[in-house]
Amino acid sequence: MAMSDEYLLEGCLKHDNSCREALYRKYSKDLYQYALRYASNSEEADDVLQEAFLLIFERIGQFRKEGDLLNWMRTVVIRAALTQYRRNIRQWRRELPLSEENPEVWEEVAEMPYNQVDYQTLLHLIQELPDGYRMIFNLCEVEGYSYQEAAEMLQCSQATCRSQLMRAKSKLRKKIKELYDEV
Amino acid sequence: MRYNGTNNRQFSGFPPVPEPLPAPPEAVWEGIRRGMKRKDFWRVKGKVLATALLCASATALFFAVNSGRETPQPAGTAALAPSTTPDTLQNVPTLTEISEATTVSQQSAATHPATAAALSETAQTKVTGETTVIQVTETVSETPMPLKETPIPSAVPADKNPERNVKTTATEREQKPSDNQTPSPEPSESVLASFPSAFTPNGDGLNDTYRPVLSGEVTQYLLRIYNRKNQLVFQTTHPEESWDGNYRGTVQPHGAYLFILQYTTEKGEKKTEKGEFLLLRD
Repeated sequence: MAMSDEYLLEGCLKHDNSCREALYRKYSKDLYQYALRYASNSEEADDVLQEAFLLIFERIGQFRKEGDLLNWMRTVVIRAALTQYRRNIRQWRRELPLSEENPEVWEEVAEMPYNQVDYQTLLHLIQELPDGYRMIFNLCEVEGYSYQEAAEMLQCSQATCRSQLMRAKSKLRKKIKELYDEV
Repeated sequence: MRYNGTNNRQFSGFPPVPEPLPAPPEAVWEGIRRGMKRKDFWRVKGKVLATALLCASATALFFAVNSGRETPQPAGTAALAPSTTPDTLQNVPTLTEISEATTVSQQSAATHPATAAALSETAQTKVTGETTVIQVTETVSETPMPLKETPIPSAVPADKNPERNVKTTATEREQKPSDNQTPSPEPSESVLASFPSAFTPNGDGLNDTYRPVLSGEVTQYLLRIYNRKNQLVFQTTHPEESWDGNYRGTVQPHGAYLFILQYTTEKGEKKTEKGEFLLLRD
C-alpha cells in the first residue's frame, strides 16, 4: 500500500503524524543506507537518520514541489551527516579537520576495485576510514559534488578536497586489496 | 549554505545493494516521533494560549454551575470530581434493565448505558424541579419494570464505583438536555465518539495512552484535556494523536481528568463532548 509522494507531502505539511510515519516507513531504508555510508558505525548512522528526519519534517515547507522528494530528503541526510561530522571534530576530536596541505604526489588511482567485495563489506571499509576521508569520498566520489561545493560544505579549500580525495581513494583501495588478498 | 545536489548522478561503482534493504532500528522512529511531538506541542501551545485560558475559565464556570444543580445524595457519590452529570453517569450499568424496557431508546443511538444515562440525568433534573423531564418519566412508568422514578436517584449512589472497563458513549449524554422536549429520532449514521474511562501509562503496551475513538470521519477536531487544577495538559487537532499522561515533561498524577472534544462531522454537524476519565498509576 504505497502512498503517493504528493499525498504524503500534503499530510506532512499539515503536521499529520500518520503521514509522517508513512513517509518514514516508505523511505527510511533508502535513507538509512545513506546515513550508514556517512557515519562511522551504525549507532552514529541511527543518530544521523533521526536528526535528518526531524529536519525533514520541520522544513518540509521549504521543499519545492517540482522537485523529487527522495532526492531532497537525501540532501537533508547529507546535511545531518555534515552536522554530525562537525560535532565529531569539535567534541571528540576524532579527526583533525581537513588541513591545508601541499599534495605531494597525486597517486594515480586507476580503477577502484569495488566489485571485489560485497556491498556490506565495502560499507564497513568506508566506515573505517578516518572521518575526513570518508566525508570527502562520499561527497565527491559518490554523490558527485564538485570540489568547490564540497569545500564549502567541509569548510576547507578546493585543493584540500582534491588531495584528500586522492588519499581517501588510495586508502580505500588498499583496504580492499588487503581484504581481497587475504581471501 | 545552499546545496541541492547539483549532480544527482546515481553512483554505479558500488557492488549491488542487498535486497531487501535492512531497515533502521525502530528506536530511530521512536526518537523522531518524540521529537516531533515536542515541537508540535510548542507550536500549538504558542498559538492557542489565549484560547486555552478562555476554555479553562469556561470549564471552571461549568463546574461551578453544575455543582449548584447537584441533587442531594449521600456523600459517597462525590468521590471523583465535583459532582456533576458526568460523575453520576458513570453509574450507568445499574440502570441497564430500565433502559432495555423503555421506549426512550428511540432518543438515543440505542446503546444501553447511554439510554440509562438519559434516565439518570433526567431523573436528576426532575428532582430539581425542571418540568421538561415529565415526558420521559411518564414513559418510564409505562414499562413493565416495577420501578418508580424516586428509587432511581437512590439507586445511583449504590453503584458508585465507576466501571473502569465501561466505555461510555458521550454523544447521547450531551444530547439529552436538548432532547428532553421531543424524542426526535437520531440520524442513524452520525459520528459517534467513544471515550475510554481510564488509561494506564505504565509502559506495558496496554492502554498506555488516552484517545477518543471516532466511528466516522471528521472534518474538524479539537481535543483538550484538563487536570483537576484546570490546567490544559494536552491539546490536539489530530484524531490519531493520543495523550501519554505527561504535561511539560512531568508525569501527571493518578486521578481524574476532564476531556473536552469538539468536532465537526462530514455532514457539517458540530458536536461537543465533555467527560471525565481516570489516569491510573500503580
